[in-house]
Amino acid sequence: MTLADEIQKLAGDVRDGLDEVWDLYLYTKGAWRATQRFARAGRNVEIHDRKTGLLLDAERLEHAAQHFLSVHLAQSVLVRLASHLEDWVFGLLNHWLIAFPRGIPFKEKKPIGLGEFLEIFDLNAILQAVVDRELNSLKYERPAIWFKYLDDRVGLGCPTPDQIEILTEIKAARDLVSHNRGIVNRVYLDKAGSKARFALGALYDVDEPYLLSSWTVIRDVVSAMETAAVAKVPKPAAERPLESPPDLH
Amino acid sequence: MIDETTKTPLKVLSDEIAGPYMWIRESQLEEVTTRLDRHGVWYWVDSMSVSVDHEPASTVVNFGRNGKAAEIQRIMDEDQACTTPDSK
Repeated sequence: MTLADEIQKLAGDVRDGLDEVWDLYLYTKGAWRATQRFARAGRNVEIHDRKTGLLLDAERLEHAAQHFLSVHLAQSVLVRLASHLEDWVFGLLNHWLIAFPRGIPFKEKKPIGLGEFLEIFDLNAILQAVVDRELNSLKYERPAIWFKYLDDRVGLGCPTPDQIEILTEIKAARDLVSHNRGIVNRVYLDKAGSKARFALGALYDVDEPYLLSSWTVIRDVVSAMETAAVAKVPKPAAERPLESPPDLH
Repeated sequence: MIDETTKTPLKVLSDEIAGPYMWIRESQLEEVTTRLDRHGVWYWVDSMSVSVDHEPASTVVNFGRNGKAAEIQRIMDEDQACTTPDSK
């Protein structure tokens, strides 16, 4: 598989993943809303959990629905969207660095230990280990640093600065709901900068318009970067246009 | 404001964690959102509507985790307040 093929396959997989997450959100929400309507219409529903003995009736389902939808489902979808963004950026970087390892910065400061070398003893596997280590350290940086690193290697010219700020806020929101129960703290405000959506101490609300715009921007960015990255892949020698006329003499 | 489905005043429901929300008939959406906009209330409307047994579709207006249920209920009750026997 060529590098261009690998990039296109990765982009397709990430888009499929994003679409599945959005379907999960819509279908789950639709099922809950229908349950709520049944409950409000006075229909009899009884769900019995044999293990715990819990009996769920229409009233309990109706009460649980809003909480589960607005908090747990929405937060889970946000986390999944952010994961797909990371899968894309780091998958693309992985393919690029494996193809062009000379682009890894500060190579002289990244030695391979003899033990690691003897254990792996395969050039491709050693290269993969070096790239994994490189990308693992980059993952802890902010998205602006991810894209700067990518731009220094590939020079895509995208995402736009505004899109990078939006993606940075999405990643900061993901960290907030995963690590701080969604209560806005200074770390979030610092990371999100001008795109911060709530004030210090507020509960971070993952509403549907926000989810939809996040899904859209991530999908758009993946497609734009895919196109730009494929265009940057050097063509095989046979496909390259001749820079000067061949010497016929 | 009267709920066209139940013929009773529109009720703002409240979940302690998820925040307030309100079921309304889709046909009432414009009237409700106009009133909320007039009062500067933050909200968003579900992108989907639900119909059970071919009844008119309903949707949910969400007020978020920082929404104030009592304040929104008061706004929804404004016209009822004008028509109570005491106010005549």
